[in-house]
Amino acid sequence: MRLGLFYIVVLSLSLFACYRVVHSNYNPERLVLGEWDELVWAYDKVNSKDSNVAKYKTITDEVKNNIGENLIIHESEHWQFLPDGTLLLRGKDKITHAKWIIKGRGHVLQIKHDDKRIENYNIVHISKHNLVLNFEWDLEIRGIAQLSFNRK
Amino acid sequence: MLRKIKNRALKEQLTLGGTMAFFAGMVNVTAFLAFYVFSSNVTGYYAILGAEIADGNVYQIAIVFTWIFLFLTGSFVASLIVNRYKKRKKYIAFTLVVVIEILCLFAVGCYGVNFYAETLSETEVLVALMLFSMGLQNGMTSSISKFAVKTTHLTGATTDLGVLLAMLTQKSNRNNHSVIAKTKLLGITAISYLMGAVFSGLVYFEIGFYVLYITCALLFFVLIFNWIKASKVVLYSWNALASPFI
Repeated sequence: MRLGLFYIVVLSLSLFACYRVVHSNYNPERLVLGEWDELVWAYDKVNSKDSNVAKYKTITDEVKNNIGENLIIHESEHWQFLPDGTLLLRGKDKITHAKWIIKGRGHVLQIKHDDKRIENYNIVHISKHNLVLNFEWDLEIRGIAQLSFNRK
Repeated sequence: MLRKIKNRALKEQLTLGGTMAFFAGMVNVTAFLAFYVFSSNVTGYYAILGAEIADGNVYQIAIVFTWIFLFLTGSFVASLIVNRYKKRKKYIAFTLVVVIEILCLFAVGCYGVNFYAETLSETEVLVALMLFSMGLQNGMTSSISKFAVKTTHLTGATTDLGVLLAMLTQKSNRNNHSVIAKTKLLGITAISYLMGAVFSGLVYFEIGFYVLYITCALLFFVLIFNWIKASKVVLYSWNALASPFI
């Protein structure tokens, strides 16, 4: 009887602790809200035999355009996540609307566009001031590009 | 006589392992396609938990820990139910656990079809329910078969299969009934799981969360089939007992 009670108490406490964390400010859905400025695109992993890997660290504008050619975000330096699930992507001359969703254990950012296109990004790090995303998350892909943002 | 009993036991294990592994494959792929997480990849979740602890991601730590804990809880509940009933009432234990599993999966399917707004909180709760149901299933099959059958533990199954296939290269093992039986069981489990996964993967893109309704319906048919079989066993036993008086 006492053991049964112990099990019930442990289960209840665990679920309650989880509930508190889910509804706290650690929740990525809350953390991501607001405006973000694109800081830098960099290679997370570089597939090169060159010993001087550091020179590949930052992605040039030309390479950035190639990588992001089919991605809607490549011309948008300012991102604004709204509570209703809308994502405003502000570039130099235009604003694009999309829908954002966070999936998985809070590690996948999915962006859905009006033309039914879906893009998935791995949330590497998210905090009050910084957001770091990876294109895809397949560990076998080398030369993964990493997007870093600062809170505006 | 002993061989007959062994053959019947193997046949039951093959049926149990094969059917339940098929459903496990279906549920796991549905969870991955709908929520981008697996519903029975506990080994992976331990690794992910370690990585998230190293990175200090409090939210992910809490979520992954809870998922692992709920899988454990499902297995615990299943084992409690199976151990409560004596050998003759094995079918009641099986029925109870499968009914709970059906209720969990039906709840996820129903919510997914009618209410799911793709928020993170909803995702975490629905995945938690699926993990609990997979823990239930794995715990039930494991308890009923005395740890011979585990339908969502493909890491262990694949490891054991490799070991057994290596053992079969020796002549003495090729005549060993239990080695052959175990190899068949693990092979059927793996193949059935894969078939369930492929089926779910093909069907999910057409019907979405309704896949879980199909899973529930198939589980229900398995229940009916088992009850019919159980009724025949009871009837036979009753007739056998009563025959001197008829």
